[in-house]
Amino acid sequence: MSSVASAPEPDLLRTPVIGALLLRRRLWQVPLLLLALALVAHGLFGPQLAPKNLSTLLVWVHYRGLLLVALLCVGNLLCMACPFMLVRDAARRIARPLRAWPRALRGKWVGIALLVAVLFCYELFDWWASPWATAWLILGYFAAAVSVDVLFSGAPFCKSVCPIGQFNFVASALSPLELRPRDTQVCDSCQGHECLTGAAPVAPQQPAARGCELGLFLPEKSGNMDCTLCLDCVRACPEDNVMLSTRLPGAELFEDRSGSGVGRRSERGDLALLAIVFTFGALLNAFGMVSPVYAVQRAIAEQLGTTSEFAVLSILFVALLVVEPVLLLAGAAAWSRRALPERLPLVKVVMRFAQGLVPLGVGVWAAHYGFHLLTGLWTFVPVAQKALADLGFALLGQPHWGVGGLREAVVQPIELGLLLLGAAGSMLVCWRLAQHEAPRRALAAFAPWGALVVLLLGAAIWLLAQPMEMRGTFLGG
Amino acid sequence: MNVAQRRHASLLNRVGVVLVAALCAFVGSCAPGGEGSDNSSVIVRFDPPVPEVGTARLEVRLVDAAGEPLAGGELSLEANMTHAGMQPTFATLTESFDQAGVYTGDVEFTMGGDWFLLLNAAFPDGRELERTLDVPGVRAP
Repeated sequence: MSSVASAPEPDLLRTPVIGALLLRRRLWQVPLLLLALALVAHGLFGPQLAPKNLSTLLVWVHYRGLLLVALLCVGNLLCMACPFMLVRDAARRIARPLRAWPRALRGKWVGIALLVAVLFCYELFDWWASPWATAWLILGYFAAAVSVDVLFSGAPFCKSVCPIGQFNFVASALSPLELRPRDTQVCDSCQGHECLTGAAPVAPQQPAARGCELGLFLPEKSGNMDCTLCLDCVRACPEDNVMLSTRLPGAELFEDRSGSGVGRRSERGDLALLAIVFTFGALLNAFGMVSPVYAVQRAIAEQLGTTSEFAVLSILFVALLVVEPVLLLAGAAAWSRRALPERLPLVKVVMRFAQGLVPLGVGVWAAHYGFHLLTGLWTFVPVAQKALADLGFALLGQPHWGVGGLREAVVQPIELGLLLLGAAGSMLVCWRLAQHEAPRRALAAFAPWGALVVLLLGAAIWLLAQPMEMRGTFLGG
Repeated sequence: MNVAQRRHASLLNRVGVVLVAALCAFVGSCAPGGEGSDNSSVIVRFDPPVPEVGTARLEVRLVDAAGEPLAGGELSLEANMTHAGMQPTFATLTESFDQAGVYTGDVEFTMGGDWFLLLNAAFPDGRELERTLDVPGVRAP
């Protein structure tokens, strides 16, 4: 018998140029900080027309789309390059946090509430149409990141508060790359646990290397949940034993291993709720930009005899983000429970299968944001030309306002492909979860969740087929 | 400085940073002023009255501060959605033969939703006029 030597796992951190670039976080953060400041300045003092302003254009069209491209092609790159953390680190040089983040606020509850609040305010205040509001939102993020992390030690803003971060943590389950030990035996003999606790400076004039502020102990880390890809663990490890390598995207959703700093997903109610809000929120957010939503909103307004957009939107959010998920998930869980070997409360069954919805959720977000990114791909060029010209630097020539992106007819098949891929991923994850939860009756346990995925896919395709209509004036206000 | 004093100073520093962060957010909330305007009037009429996705006929009536029609102008417009990232459409308006100061042309609305028109007019006497006109609720098919 001949033995075949296994090929070494690829490690992006040891790839020439790319590895060096990834390890220099400031190289990414400083340009993004400058860009964020430019967006704030243009949002506050530039033209108050969304298509003519860099803040609305780059935030709501390009940033959101590129965020998902990065997550699906590499990993949580935009958390790695987050400019809020650069300002926070500077603030912490002035004031070091002394308190621990309150136990009652740990987990994802605050982040989920803020994620829902952002989705709600996005619709209520038409942030997509307001450069000024978008600039204010960016400043609010900076203020929140600095305030939370100057008062509390660790990285509570990233781990528990930041709505973008929670979104990225969920979607990064489908990323193809993950940080993990290069050789687990090296970790077994490690005494210092520097990847978690940080490393002392080698020389007096050198700064100490920070350990993972999100509490992920690398040898016991499982998946990308809570990993901002900051690479502090890489810099802290005295054995240079951390690699950024490939893995099966989505596997962490069904493997359900107990991971450092996270625990088991199936036992975390907040993670289940985050996955549910992420998935149903994707459909709700897409629903907000197609024609039928206005008929629904008008019908609600007429029934209530109100012209309050707040009231109508609240009802819509409660219906689509609370009532609908509760009914569908409770139905699927009740049906699926009959095949499980032990009789669990419905909530527990939902917690065990909720992660199966994540790939479909990613597919819906990617289809939605991908549409905006691709159809408006080059629209930033004339806006940047005009902004520079207004500052007296007409380096890029006269604005060419006709520049757009791909045609809708080209983008729609891409959207459909993303939805189908997402649904296929959800099917696979639900199937593996069913195999794990009900080894003898996996098909029966899977069937309701598979049906739910098909139902949600149908809703997403229906949304895709609707005429788009983006309005902030549905009640004539 | 003893331990208690150090803790006190550190607390003050932290409060200071939080206040600076809050101040940044407050400064950000100061909105810029609106656009300046001359005394000319722009009256816009669509056919159909509530535009739908597709081509809409547009009539623009321009009068100066004295109520006299602004004739002989060259009018161009750019139609944009209020959502960023959508490709604009462009149109040129021509003056009516029998009505001075009344210009007509076709505007293409490629998607339902809120739009606005950026109207530019140049007149033989060198005067120029710019207006932003809201077109809320273009109907989807």
